[in-house]
Order: sequence, then C-alpha cells, then structure tokens
Amino acid sequence: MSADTLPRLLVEQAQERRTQVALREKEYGIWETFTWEQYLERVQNFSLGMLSLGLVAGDKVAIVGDNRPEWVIAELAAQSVGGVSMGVYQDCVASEVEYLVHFADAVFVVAEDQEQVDKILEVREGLPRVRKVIYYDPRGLRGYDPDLLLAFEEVEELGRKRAREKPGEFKECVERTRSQDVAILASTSGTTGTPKLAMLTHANLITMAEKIQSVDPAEPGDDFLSFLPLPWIGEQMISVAFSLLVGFPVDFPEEPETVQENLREIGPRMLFAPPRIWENMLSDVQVKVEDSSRLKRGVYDWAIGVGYRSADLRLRSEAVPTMLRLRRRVAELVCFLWIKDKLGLRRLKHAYTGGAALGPDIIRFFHALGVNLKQIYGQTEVSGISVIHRDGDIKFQTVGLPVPDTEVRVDDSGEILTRSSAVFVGYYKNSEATEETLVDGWLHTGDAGYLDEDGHLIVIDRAKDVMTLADGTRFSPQFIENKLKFSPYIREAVVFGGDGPYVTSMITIDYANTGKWAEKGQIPYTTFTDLAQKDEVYELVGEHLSRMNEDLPEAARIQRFVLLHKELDADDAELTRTRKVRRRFVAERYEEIIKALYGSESAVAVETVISYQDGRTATTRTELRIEGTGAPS
Amino acid sequence: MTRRRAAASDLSQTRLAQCLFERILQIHRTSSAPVATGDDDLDLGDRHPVCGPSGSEWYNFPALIPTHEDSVTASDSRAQTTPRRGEVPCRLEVSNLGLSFGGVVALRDVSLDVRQGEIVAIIGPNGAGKTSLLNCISGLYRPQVGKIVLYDREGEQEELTRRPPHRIAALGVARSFQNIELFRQMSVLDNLMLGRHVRMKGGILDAALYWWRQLPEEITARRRVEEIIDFLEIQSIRHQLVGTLAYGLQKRVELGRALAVEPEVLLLDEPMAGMNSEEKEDMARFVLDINEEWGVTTALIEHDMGVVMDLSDWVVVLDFGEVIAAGTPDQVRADEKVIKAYLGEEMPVAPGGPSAAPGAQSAAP
Repeated sequence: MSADTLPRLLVEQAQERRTQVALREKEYGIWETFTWEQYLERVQNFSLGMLSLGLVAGDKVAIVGDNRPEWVIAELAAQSVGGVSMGVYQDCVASEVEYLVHFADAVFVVAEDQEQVDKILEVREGLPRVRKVIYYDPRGLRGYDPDLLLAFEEVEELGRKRAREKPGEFKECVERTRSQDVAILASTSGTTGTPKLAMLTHANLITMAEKIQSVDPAEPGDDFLSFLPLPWIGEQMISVAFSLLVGFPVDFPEEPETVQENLREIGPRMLFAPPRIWENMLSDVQVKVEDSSRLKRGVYDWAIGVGYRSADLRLRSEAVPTMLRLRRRVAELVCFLWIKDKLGLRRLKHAYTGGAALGPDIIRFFHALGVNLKQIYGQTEVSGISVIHRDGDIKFQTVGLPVPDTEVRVDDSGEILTRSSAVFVGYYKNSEATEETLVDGWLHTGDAGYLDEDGHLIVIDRAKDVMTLADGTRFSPQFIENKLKFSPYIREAVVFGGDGPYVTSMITIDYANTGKWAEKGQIPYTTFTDLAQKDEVYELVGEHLSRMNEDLPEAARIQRFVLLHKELDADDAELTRTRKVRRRFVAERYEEIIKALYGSESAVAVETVISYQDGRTATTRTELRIEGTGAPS
Repeated sequence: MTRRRAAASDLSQTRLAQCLFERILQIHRTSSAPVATGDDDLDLGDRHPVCGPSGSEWYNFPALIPTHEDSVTASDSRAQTTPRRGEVPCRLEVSNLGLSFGGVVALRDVSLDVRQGEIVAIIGPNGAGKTSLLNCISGLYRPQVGKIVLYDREGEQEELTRRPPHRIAALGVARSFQNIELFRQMSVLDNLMLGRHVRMKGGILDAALYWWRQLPEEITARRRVEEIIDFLEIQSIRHQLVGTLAYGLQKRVELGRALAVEPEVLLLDEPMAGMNSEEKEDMARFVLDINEEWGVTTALIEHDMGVVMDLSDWVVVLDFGEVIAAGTPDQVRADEKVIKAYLGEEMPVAPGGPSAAPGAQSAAP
C-alpha cells in the first residue's frame, strides 16, 4: 500500500479488495459481514453527514462505546474530512467522560447506547462545545432531546443526500488529508494522574503498522477479533492501522460477555491482549483442570510437564531430543489441542502481550501449550510498539529487540529512551508535559530498564516505582506482583517495601476461583469480605507466598501480607481503565493498612463508605487480619 | 405440557400467611413521602379521594370517575399527550367474573378492563385472587360466572372464557408464571423456540419434509427469538441449560418465553419477585421497553409498591377475591380501603405513626 493516511488506505483497500470481508459483527446470533466496499461507503456517508452537520477540518470527534463496526467507521469518517477522533473508554464514569471530552474540545460525541448517552447528558452543562450526540443503538432513547441527539443512520442518510448533491466531495476530502495531520488523540493510561492526550499522526500509526508487518507479516486472510477497548492504543494499532495496511478482516463480538465464545467461533490468527487476559486464561485452565476427573488431571499433568520441558529447550535454542518431540506431539493431540480449541487459540499464528509486564511463568505456560506468545513493549507515545520478541528468540525476562528503524537506549539514570518515526508529536494542550517527555526527538518513557548482552531490552518497572530494598539492592515490585498473580486465587497484588525495613503485600483474592475452591472444601462464606478473611484462605495464599518466596532474594521476600476486603476497582480510581494498579493512589487510600503491615498488630480495622445509587451512604467496619509468611526478617 | 404442569402447581399452592410488614412499610413510605413517579407533581389522591361505593361499581364507568386526566394542569406533559383513559380502545375486558373451588370463593364479581398500550398492575395481599384472575384470563381456570373478552386492534371481539389455553395464546395473550415454568433441561434458546410453538404451522407431514416445508418456518422463528435474546440481553447464556442459570436470569428467560408468542396482551405474574434491586431495575426497564417500543399491552401482578407506582398507568386492587379499588397509582395509594386491606383495620395510618419511626425509613430499600 502506498497511501500515507488512514482514509486513503481505506480507499485503496476498497478498490483492491472490493467484495472481500472487511468487518464482521455478530448480531442476532449470526456473523454479519461488511465488505471493503461497504466499509468505505459507510465511512463516506457518515463523514459527509458530519460535514452537513457542520464539522470542519481539525474538529475533534469523541467516540465512546463497546467494540462495534460503527466505532471504527466513525473514527475513519472523522479522519476522512480532516477531523481527529478521540476514543473514550466505555466504562468511564460520567465525570471522566466530561473531563476527556471537554479537554479534547470535541464537537460531536458518538455514543453507543442509552448508557453512554446518559453519561453525556448527565454532564451536559460542562460540555458547551458538544453540538451533537450521535447514537447507534436506539434502545430506550425515545423521548430524549431530539435537538441534541441523532441516530447514526440519520447522519448516514444526510451523507447519502450530500453525496448525491455533491459527488466527488468525499474523494476531495480524502485527498486533502496529510500524513502529518493528527489522526487520533489517544489517552494515556494515567497511572500517575489524570490522563493526558497524546497526538498521533497518520504517519505515526502507519509506520508503526509497517514495522509490525516487517517483523511478523500478516496476510489479508488473517482474522482478528477486536474485543479490547478501542481507545487503547494496542487495539487502535491492530484493528485500525494494521488492518487497513494489510487488509485483514476485523471481527467484533456480539456482547462483551460473549467474547470467550466468539473467540472460539472466529479462531483468530492474531491476538494482542494485555496481561490481564492471559492471566485469566491461565487461571481458567488451572481451575477447570482442578475440577475435572482424575484421569483428565493425570493426562494434563503429564502433558504440561512434557510441554514445559520441550518449550524450555526450544526457547534456549537447544535441540529437542526425538523422544521428547514425539511425546510433545502426543501431548498436543490428547491435551493441548483441546485446551487451545476451548480458549479460541487453536489457529493462532501470533500472540502478543503488552501494556504491562506479564509474569515469565505465564509466558512459559503458553509456550508449553504451543502458543507463540510474545511480549511487546511500547507506549501510547510511540503508537504502541517499539520493542518486540522475534520468533525463535524469546526470553521470558525480556521484551525482545527494537522494531526496525527504532533506536532504544538506556540513559545514565536507567531510564529507557526511544527514537523513531512513530514517536508522537506531543500532548494535546500540554506543552509542558511534551517538553518533559520529548527531548531532542528522544522519548523519555519513564520506565527503568537495561539492555542485555544480546540487545534484548529488560524492563524493570516504572522508574518511579522501583524500590530500594533494606540491603540496598534495587528491586521491582511489579516483578513480585506478577509472581504472586500466577496463583489462580490471587487477582491483584500490590507490593510495598521501598520505605520499610522489609517487603509486604496487599492482596485481593480472585473471588470466582477462591469461592469455587471454598465450596469444594466445604468452607461456608457469605461475601467477598467474609471469604477473604477465612483462616483457610489465608493459609491457601500463605502457602503460595512461601513457595514464591523461595525463588526471591532474601531481602525481597514478602514478610507480612493482608487480604483486602474488596476488589480493586477502576470506578474507585484504584486501577486505570486498562486495569493497571495506580500504586500511589492505592498507597494513599490504604495508608492505615500499610502502616499496620509494618507494625506489630495482627489485625487492622478498616472503614468503608459505600455510596448507594440513590445517594445515601453507609459505613461498614471490617477487621482485616495480617499474617506473616514465616520468611526470616 | 408446560401449561398443565403449571395449573397443577398453582392449585396445590398453599397460601401462606406471609408477614406483611415490609409491604406495610412500603405503603407507609409511599403515602407519607411520595416516591418519584412521573405523576408526582399532581398528588390527586388528596384532592380527589376515590370514594365510590364499591370498587367494581364505579369502575365500570371510568369516564364518570374523577381520574388523573380529568384535572390535568399544563405542567403535566404526559397527560397532555395521552388521551383520556375512557377514549383509548379497550383490549381486554373482564366482567363480573366469579370463580370458586368448592366452598372457597376465589373471585367474586371481578370486573376490570385493560386499555390499548397500558400497563395495568394488579395488586393485593396474598390470597386475594390475583393469580387466579390471571389463570382465568389465560384459560387455565374456567370461571363459573362472568365473561372475558379480548379485542383486537380493529376492535373485533373474541370471547376467551370457554377457550382452551393454547387457543388463547394463539389469539395473542401470553403470560409468565410466578414459579418459573421452563424446561430446566433444555437450553435457553430451545425454551424460547418452544415458546413460538403456537406461531408455528407445521405438522407431522411438514416435519417429514423438513428441508422443504419446516426449515423456512424455523428460520423465521429463530430470527424472532434472536431478536428477543438481543432485547433481553441474554446472548451470553443462549446455549446454557435453563436449570443452571441464576434465578434472576431464569425470570428473564421466562419473560422471553412469553414474548416469543408475539403477544398483543402480556400477563406477567410477579416478574420481579425474589430479585435484588439491580435485577429489578433491569426487569422494570424491560417491561417498560416492551410496552413502549413494541406497543404490547401489559397486565402484571407485583408486590413491590415502588415498581407498581413507577411502572403502571392503572392499578387494580384485589382483596378476598373482590376488586376493592382501581385508579391511577396516586389514587390507589391514597385509598382508605387499600390501606386497610394491607394494614388491617386497627392500625393507625396517621402521619407520625409507624412510618415516622426511624427504623422504617432505613429498612426500606
């Protein structure tokens, strides 16, 4: 493809692929398809419709909703006429939506359904620039203000009319798009504060896609299931830029709850998911195996052992003995094939993880299964990717080698710096932050890391989070947290230790898996809090901790831990919308608990204020137990 | 088969004298501090106390009764756009219905009508005859006295009183059951497809020529069922067995099964019983959407007064098998007889009574 903007890529793909499948969406239980021509036509109609409604080049269009064809259509439609799209995470609360939409100066908001429209209307006062709210699921929206609200089809109809009156206008608009124009405003995850909006140009996104293509070539027939939030740069990378460059179809699940089922139906050739998804798959397998019959458990244990051994050899580039290879093939036939089939990974060619560090144990597990899982390192500011594992050159601890035309170096303070054509042009309306981040073309990532002897990049953690242990060594809390999360019974863990004499951890249990375990052991429980405070659960987690402690240097071993009475929640600002822990906020919020972790008490009382939907609040008091792990301090 | 089982279970159902305390509190709450309903700005209950000599008597002449619509003010937009109740065509008319089991009188001289596009709530204490009334309408019980007439959109009459249940269903009257009546060993999809049974024409011969005769019909049916699945947001449990589902979801499937009949008139027997507040909210939204977007006329039995007051256009109160009051939610809420039926004669209802006790407010959901 020679085109240098996303809308032009779409036009070229539509000319070349015409009636091949571009988008699929499951609706009414059937996978409905849109061809490339239909894709282009809908983009054309919607963009002309927005022109009729008064959109001008440079205007921002905010999009909020689940993954649907309309989402990407709206994005490309905005870009086609010189506009800029900004995705808002669909689970953001109204105030977050208000902040982002207002900050981005969006004039139109494309909102999926009543839920999203309600959020906009709730904060309507604070959004004086928003002129129209366009929805594509009319359910329940009768009786809403027709001056503000407009259906997606109505806009498309306006566009059709305009296309009849002024044929050729769309083509002219697309030709006017420049590769250096800003294409999207991507919100950063905001682990350290309010999200910033990174301005990414067409050139940024397309060069990034070209780089993936040069490392791991995709073909036009490679299906991709788009189920992660589209505002996330990883999803933008593949569902929009990469798909337009290569011309492979993007599939949209029926509902967020049906993703697992849809994944299996589509059998994608490519999957890019943050660690959370891979961790969930692993826990899922572990728990289901526990639940199955003894025979099946026996087969699984044997097979996974064989898988681990052969994967270890293969990844060290050592020869795998013939007998082991044979056994591996049997294991594949009797076990792995079926697990992969259930998970929807059977046809997978390339599997990526990115967005945060994934524990080495988890990567190793997927390689044992025969899933070619590779790390991607990058951030929103480099359009998502700067370093990636190569086939046959995968080390669990590293994130791989820089992609072509990308320079990565580590400065004297240990911070990772990147320079490439995919580096963004700056933050929207925040030149101060831009100057701090972009120095002489080098992007300061804020991550601490180093390069190993083979040129692989090893990321330790966010530079600000790296802690100095009591004995003076520097250590990454994330590393310990990821080891903890290998247990199916642990959902989230936050490790502390930078300021204290020893390392402690605050853990939230995985309610579903631990609950199942408790039921099996006939341990009665009522609520999350109750379950988390059971002796048996403390014992269960404690066992895992002491096992894990053995693999850690002495000073990094966890001495005391607490099981939290609630799950960490993005609505409480404890996690970002991409489900990363906002460490500093958590530390502030649970100050009492952390103090107790470093004290001598065996319990700490916490008060939780619950606010109900009708505005009333209630306070509950809970005693949280603190236990030692028996590691010598 | 479903229906016969349902009838049996309904007959054997013992009427437990349940504790009315929670409902008493709800009545108190609603009468002392009106909940937010669309009609709130007009508290007609005080100005126009419903005081007909007997509920059923005045109820047969709705136009004579001072109703909500008779005294609308400019501020009430809803009443402005909707015509007076008496002018809306009637869809279901029950007149002077009587039903007894041996010496036990379940229904006595019950009359009510359900107008086009309305949501009518039937309320009353336990054992008041609400389910019996629904059973009579859907043909599970044969009333000894009285008449039930269904009107179609053109106003054509169809008497339901002597018809078998499946004929009534085919005429467009669907219902859900209080105790979920689904096939627990079948998937959600199959249960819903079965709900379309009365809309399928094929017989044994057609089944023999499946590919030719039956398949097109099944495709249409599946399409309709998928629309219902989409509407009720149960895509993720489409292929699960009903027996494995949580109670709230089973209730939703039960509603879906009734919708599969493509009803003109929908009868819901306690669609929100035993649900938590979130599930209730969802269900209330579904009932409203069915009514407003699909234009389905709905009659429902419900105990949660908050739901009744928010959802319904018209409320009919039964007690000991008789209609003791009928009117808009506001009117019924203020009706002396209704309060008595729920509270008993002696208990004081004056403000400052039990509702003013601090515990009363916090115990209400």
